[in-house]
Amino acid sequence: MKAWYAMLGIWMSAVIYEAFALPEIRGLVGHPIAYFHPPIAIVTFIAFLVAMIHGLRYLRWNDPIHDVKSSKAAEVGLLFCFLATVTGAMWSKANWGTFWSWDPKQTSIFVVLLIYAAYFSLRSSTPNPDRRHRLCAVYTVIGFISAVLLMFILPRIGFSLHPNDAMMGGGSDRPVRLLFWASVLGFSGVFAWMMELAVKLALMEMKIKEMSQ
Amino acid sequence: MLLCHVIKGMSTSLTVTNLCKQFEHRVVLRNVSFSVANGHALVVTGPNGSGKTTLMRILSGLMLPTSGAASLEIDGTVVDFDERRREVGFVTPEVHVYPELTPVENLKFFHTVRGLEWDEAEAAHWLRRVGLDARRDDPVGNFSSGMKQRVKLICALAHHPSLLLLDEPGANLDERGRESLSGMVEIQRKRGMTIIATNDPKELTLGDEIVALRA
Amino acid sequence: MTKSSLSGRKRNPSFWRSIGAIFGKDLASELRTRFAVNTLLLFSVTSLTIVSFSTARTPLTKEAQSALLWIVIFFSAMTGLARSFVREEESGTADALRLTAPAESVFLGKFAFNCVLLLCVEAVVVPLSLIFWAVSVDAPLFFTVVLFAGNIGLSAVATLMAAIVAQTSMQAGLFAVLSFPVLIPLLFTAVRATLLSMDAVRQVGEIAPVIRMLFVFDIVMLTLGFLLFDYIWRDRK
Repeated sequence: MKAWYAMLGIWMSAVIYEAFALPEIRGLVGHPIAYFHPPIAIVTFIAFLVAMIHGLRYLRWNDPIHDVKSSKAAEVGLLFCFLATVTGAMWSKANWGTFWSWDPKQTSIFVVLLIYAAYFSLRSSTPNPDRRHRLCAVYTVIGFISAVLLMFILPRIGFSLHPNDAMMGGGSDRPVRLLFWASVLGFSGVFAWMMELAVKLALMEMKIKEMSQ
Repeated sequence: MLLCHVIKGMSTSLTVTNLCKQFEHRVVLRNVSFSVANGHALVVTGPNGSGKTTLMRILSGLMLPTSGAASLEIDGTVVDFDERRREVGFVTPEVHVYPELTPVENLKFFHTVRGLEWDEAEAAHWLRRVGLDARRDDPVGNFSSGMKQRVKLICALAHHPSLLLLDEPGANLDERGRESLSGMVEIQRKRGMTIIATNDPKELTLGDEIVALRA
Repeated sequence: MTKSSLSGRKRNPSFWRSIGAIFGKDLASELRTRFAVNTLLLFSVTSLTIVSFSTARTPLTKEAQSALLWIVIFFSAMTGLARSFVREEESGTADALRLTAPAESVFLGKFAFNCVLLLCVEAVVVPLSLIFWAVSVDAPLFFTVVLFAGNIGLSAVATLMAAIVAQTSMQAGLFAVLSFPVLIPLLFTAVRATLLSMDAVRQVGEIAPVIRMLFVFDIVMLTLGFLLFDYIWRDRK
């Protein structure tokens, strides 16, 4: 396992170095952020998808372990969502002059942040454990579907300042695309690692509580 | 004249196997096992906190056990939760009928949502049985606690359940109310099964068997 | 007594009757106590009046009118739509409902009731706002359709979230927190669509995507609600 983390560390360092080393992309100011903000946003969605999957598994099997995994995925996802919002604002400032440009995608990622902040409000207001697991699991499903609606469907009805597919698909050079996807991979690894740690910690806490009863 | 629907040839049973319930780390029920069959009444007793109400809630289907099973069978077929709504009647201090509706409206409502046919005459009969005929058009919110309890009883019985669950049924009843209660338990005994959770020594005689829970 | 069939859930007449019974019961309760309707109407009329009076001197742009209308409707919904579930849990009748009614009937019955409540609010607020703000609606049919679609979406989400918060310790306090982010797609779209209906000078091409979004939102939320409600409503394997 340690080798894995070392590899991840090296990978991310390489990504970060390259992000600053590569020349600027035409049409995009503040270019290092371009390799961080979209990948972080993508990983946010992966995190919330994972939270939903574990939520669904809880609803199917009623096993508390799925609730632990679901909530930890949401927790790390919330962190990534916060970072996505912040890096988005930084990019907005660099490109369009203001931190908040009311661009639909920028607004959406912030609303997604609100959705998952609300998830934790729900969690802390339900003392009964059975109910808590059940209601939170359902909310992860509603939350993810809403997040999809917000990020991918809503922007279609208004105009967007977002550069969108410029980086992911055609219209950019190979090194740019390579680095972009390398960054996505790296951040996914970071997410998986953080989630695993959080889950382990939660399980240990549960065990300690059980033993002290 | 008692309008009694006698169901011939239906054998019902409730089998509880190793039922356990714990909330986080507090164990409320541990390995509870018993069974009741058609025509019998069981009394569950135990000190406060021994899990009587939790047990009744699990048997009614409102709560799931942590482990173990409580299966209700009718003619050999296991009844799943969705069908339990027609086969189970539950009276407990925490569950109430609608205070802004009259007894008749309450009866009609619960009948309709259970998917059963509504019979005006039968409703009148039930109200008369518990002596609430005069107040049939009065919202239940205006009733005394004893009268409310009687409304709860008929709402739990009017659909002829196979399993009647009574949690502290005599709590608010006076002498006359208790007589009514014993009468109804007797009728239910013939029709199906009854489980009564109580600490009241007077109610211990309502059942054939006693299950005692320890705290 | 009709011998209960031991087959799975079926969409037979009793299913529709139970929805009707739940809807009717909430309606009857409401007519007797008038609690929710009073709260809703009081809130919506008051907030509408405050806004209108404070902006009396400065004429509102069409964008502002559209937005304010939906703000009033949304906040009215947040004030009044959680009640039906919260009150059931508080007065101990929710368990009686759990024991006797199929979960889908509860969802649809309560959803229908919430739709009616919102309709009452809209029936008062919309004419009032049209008068206060001297609004001219260029496409009244479209305007009504948007109101209706928004109503459905709002009620669907509100019903779901009300069922969730009624089982928490914070209850109504959590209701707006949970509902608001999920409703953003609907609110943004409804505001835009209402704007389009009031100002036909705008591009006609914008109408189709907006209608599509409203449609999609309503369908998605109703379906999600229908599928998930059972899990919200009760403990199940």
